[in-house]
Amino acid sequence: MDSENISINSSQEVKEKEADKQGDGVKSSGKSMLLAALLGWLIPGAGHLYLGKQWKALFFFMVLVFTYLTGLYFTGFRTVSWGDNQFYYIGNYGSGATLFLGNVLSQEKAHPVEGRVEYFDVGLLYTCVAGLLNAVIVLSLYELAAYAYVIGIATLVIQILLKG
Amino acid sequence: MSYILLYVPICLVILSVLETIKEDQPSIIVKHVLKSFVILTGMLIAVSAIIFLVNKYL
Repeated sequence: MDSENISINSSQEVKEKEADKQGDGVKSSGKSMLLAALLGWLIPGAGHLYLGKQWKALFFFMVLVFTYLTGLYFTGFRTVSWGDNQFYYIGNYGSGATLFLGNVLSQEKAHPVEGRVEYFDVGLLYTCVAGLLNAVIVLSLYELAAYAYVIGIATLVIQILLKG
Repeated sequence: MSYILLYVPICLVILSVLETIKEDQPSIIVKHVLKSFVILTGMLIAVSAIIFLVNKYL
């Protein structure tokens, strides 16, 4: 009896998931996955909020804002320009908010001569990770997170090879 | 403050975000994140110890 219930429930879940994925990226609830991804890119967590996943949205927003602000604190509220460090600059593209802040705060030679010099690279890493994690979150809305992992690892390997 | 200490928050952030994408239940997420963190940190310490010993004695 229990096994029948489990099999019925699992088949219902499969049907619901298939219904969610039908056709043009529009969920059965009528919400557009494309719009969710766009909102999620603009502001971390906004995509999940749009899809009605409130606690996940709040969690992603808080964690990524904390990481980004911690990174900015270590860099002395400076970010790098494209000419300064391409790898860390690409991290800004992970979300619209970080891209905007990255362009507002970027300087041609961002490396400080005084202050928290020793943690500058760590700060850049934190801001870059915040952006890239948001990219993974957005891609996960389309269940493409696995590709994001591959891109992330490939980027890391390229950076190590270039520095080596 | 040591660089090593800064490994802990960024590692927990990455692991928790990746786990939250996959799972829906907070208790499972916390459990998996802690498990992954312990395994990852243990592996890093073990590999670091091996490299240290190789450099020192070989």
